[in-house]
Amino acid sequence: MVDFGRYPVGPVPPLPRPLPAGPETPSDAQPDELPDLERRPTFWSWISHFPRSLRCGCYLINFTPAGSRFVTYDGTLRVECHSNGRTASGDLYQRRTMVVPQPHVPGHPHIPPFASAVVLAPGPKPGAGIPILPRSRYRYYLSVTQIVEFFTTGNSFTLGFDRWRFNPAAGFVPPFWTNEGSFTARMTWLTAPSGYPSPGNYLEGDVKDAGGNVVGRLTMGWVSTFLRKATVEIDRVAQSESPLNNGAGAGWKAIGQAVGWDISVDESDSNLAEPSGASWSDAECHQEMLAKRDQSNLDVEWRYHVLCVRELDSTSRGIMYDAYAGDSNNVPREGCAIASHWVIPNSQQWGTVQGMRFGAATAPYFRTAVHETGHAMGLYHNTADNGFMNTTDTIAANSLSPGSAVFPGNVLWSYNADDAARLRHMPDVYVRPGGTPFGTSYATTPISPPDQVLDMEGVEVTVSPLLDAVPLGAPVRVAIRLAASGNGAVEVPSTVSLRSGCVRGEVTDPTGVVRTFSPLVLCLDDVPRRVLSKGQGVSDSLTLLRGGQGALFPVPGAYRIRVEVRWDVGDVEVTAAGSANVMVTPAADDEHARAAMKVLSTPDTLLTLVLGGDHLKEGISAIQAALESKVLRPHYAHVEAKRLARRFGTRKPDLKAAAKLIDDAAVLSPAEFIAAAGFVAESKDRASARALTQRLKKKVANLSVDDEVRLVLDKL
Amino acid sequence: MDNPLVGVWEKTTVSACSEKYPDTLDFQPNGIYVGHREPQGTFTIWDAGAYSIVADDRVRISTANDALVTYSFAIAGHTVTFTDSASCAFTYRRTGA
Repeated sequence: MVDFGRYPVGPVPPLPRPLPAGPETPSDAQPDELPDLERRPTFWSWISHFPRSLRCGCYLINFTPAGSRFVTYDGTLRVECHSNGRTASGDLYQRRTMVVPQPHVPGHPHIPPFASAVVLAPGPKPGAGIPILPRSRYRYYLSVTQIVEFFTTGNSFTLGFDRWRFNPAAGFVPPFWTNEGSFTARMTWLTAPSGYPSPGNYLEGDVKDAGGNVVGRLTMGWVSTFLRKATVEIDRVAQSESPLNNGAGAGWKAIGQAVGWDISVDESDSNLAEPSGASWSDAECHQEMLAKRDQSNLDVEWRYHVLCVRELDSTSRGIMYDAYAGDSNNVPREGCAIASHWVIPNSQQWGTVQGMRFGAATAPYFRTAVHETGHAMGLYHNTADNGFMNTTDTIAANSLSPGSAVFPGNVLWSYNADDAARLRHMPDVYVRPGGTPFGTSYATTPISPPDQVLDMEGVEVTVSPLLDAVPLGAPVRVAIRLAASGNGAVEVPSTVSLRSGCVRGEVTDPTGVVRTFSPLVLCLDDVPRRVLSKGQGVSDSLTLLRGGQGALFPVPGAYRIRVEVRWDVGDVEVTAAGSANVMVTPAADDEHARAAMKVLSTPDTLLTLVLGGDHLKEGISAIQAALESKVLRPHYAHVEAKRLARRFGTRKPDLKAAAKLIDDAAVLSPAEFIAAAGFVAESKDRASARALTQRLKKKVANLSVDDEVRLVLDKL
Repeated sequence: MDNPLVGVWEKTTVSACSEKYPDTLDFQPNGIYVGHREPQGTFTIWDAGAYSIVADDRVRISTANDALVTYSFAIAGHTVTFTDSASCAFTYRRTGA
C-alpha cells in the first residue's frame, strides 16, 4: 500500500524577485557605518570612480546577532546574474558550540577538574568553496529584496533582505516559516581575511531592522562561480546502462551548470546483485541505496543516488522512491531508480524509439534519470514545457501536436524557468537530500532546539525501553543514562529523574503526531551536580503514561521516544538527547480493551501513578480496572503496590498487600526496584518486609539491572 | 469503448484524507491528465502524468513521484467517486454539467 500521508501546507517563502541592475541614486546613499570595525580600505576604495558590482556566484556568509556570545550563523548567499539584473537568496545555519571538557590537573587525578567551558566551533573554511552545513542546524532563509550598487562612486552598497525563520518543530501546524521582517545592510568591500579565494570580493556591514536598529553584523566572501554543489552517484546492475548523457553532448555537468549547480558524477557500482529477480520494489531500492552508496553523511555532501535496474515494481520507467512509505529511514529524497528493461510501446507518440528497450534509448533514458533526480531535489511535475520535470508520457503525447518534432526530438534539455529558479533559490532544506520530505509534512525533519540552548558535546544520553513491546494502556518504562563520552570531565546534573526537573521529552506516535512530557518543576541552579569522567554516567528510569497533550501512547503501533536533559553550564543552558523505539501492541481481548480505554482516558491515572495516595478516586478506579485485566495487571502492579505501601492520612502502610502485588509477572523499572526497597526499609511489618525482599531479590536475579539496584537490595 | 473519465472535473469532497488530491482534474483522451490545487504551486499527489482504465471500476494513475497507483472509481451521472488504498473516498463533478 502506498501511504501518501500529508503534504506541505505551510506558507513557503517566496522566491526572490529579479533585481534590476542600476546605480544607487544619491538619495538612497547612506554614509558608511562601521563604528566597531577597523577600516580595511581596499585597493578599489582608492579608485572610487570605477564602478563596482557584486560578483555573481556563491558567497560564504556569516551573521552574528548583536551582543551574542554563543550564537552565530554561517551559510551561503547565492547571487545569480542574468539579463534583467540579479536574483539572490541565502540560507543560514546556526554554528555549533562546543563544551570543552577540562582535564584533571596533571599528576593530581584526585583533584576534581575545573568546570567545562563553552566555545563556538570553528566556522566553514572559505578555501573549501561552497560550504555544506548540517541539516539539523538549519535556521533561516534570506530572500534578497534589494541590491543597490554604486556605479559611480564609493565602495559599498545596500543589501536588503527578508529573513524567514524555519520552524521544523511546528510539526503539522502551519506556518512552518516565520517572516521575521525586512532588514538592510550597508555592505562595504574590504580586503578578505586569509583563506578566501578572491580577496577583492569580500564585504562586511551592520544589519539593521526596519526601525533602523543595528541587530547584527553580516560578512560575505565570494567562494564559487556556482550557486550550489552536489554529487550524483550512479549504481547499476550489470544489465543496465549508466545514464551519463543524452547521446548528444548534454550530461550531468552541463545540465547542472545551466542552473548554477556544480554537479560531480560518481559512477560507482556496476554489478549490483538483484535481490529478488529482475524487478525491484521501492523497499529494495531504498535498502540497496543505503548499502551501496559511497558516502552516507548528507551533512558533509549533497549526494543523490541513482539506481539503475532492469525493472521496477512500482512503475515503468523511473521513480523517486524515497518518499512516503518508501522512505524507511525517514531521510527523504536521497535517491531514485530507473528501469532499463522497460520496453517502449509501439505507438506513434513514441516516435523514433518505439519498441526499443528503454536503456538502449539513450536520450529518454538519461532524461528519466535527470527527471527523477529532479524529484529528489524537491521538484514536482511541471507541464508548462517539455523540460525535465514534465512527464515522459506527456512529452511523448505532445509530439503528436501539429508542428512538433517526433519524440524524443521534442524533449527540451533544460529545466523550465520556474524549476530553474527553484533549484537556484529555493531554501536549502527544500532541495538538499535529507531535507524536507517530498510532498509530505515537516514532522520528520530534524527538531531544532531554540538557538540559545546549546548541544552539549562529550555527553551522550542513552534511552533503553525496559520492554520492546508493551500492551495498549500500559505505561512505558525507559531507562536513561547520561554519560561522558569525550575525553576530560563534564559537569552534569547528579540525577536524571523526571522529578529532577532537568528531563523532558516527546513521543512520536505511528502517524507522526508528537506529544510532549515535561517535569513538574524546572531544572534549578541548585540541583546537585557531579563531574563525570569518560565512561562515567548517571542513570534513572522514567515511567511514561501521559503528557501535556493527554495519553502518550493512545493507539497501537511503533512509537519513538526522545528524551532530553537540560542544565546550565556557567550561564549557558545546554542540552543532550537520546531516543529509542517501542511498540505498543493492540488490545488482546475485550477486558483488556476496556481497561486500556479507562486508563488512557483518565487524566488522574498519571497523578495516582506519580503521587499515590487515596484521594484521587478516578485515578485509583482506573488503576483498579487495569489490575483486573490480566494483560495490564503486571504493568500496574508496582503502581498500586507503591500506593498501598505508603501511609496516607490515617491509613497505615499495607506492605503485605503490596508484597502480594509484586509477583513474578510484575514489571518494575530499576528505579521502581529501588523505590520498593525503600518500602521494605521503612516498614515495621517484618514478615511482609521479608516476603517482599525475597520476591524483589528473586526478580532482580533474572534481570539485567545496574549494580546500584543489586546493592540496594543486598542491604535489605 | 468511450473513456468515461475524459473531461474536466472539480472536486466536491472536503475531507482531510482527500486534501492531497487536486481541486481540478483534466483527463484528456490521449491518456494524459493534469491536476491543480489552489493556491497555485500547492503540492498535489495527482499533479500530472498518465492514466489508464485497467478495469470497469479501476484506473491506474501515475502520481507525483512517478509511482503507478491503482484506484477504484465509480461514475454516477456527472460525478465520479475515487477510492484510494487507504479507503478514502472523494468525489468530483464534471464541469459544465
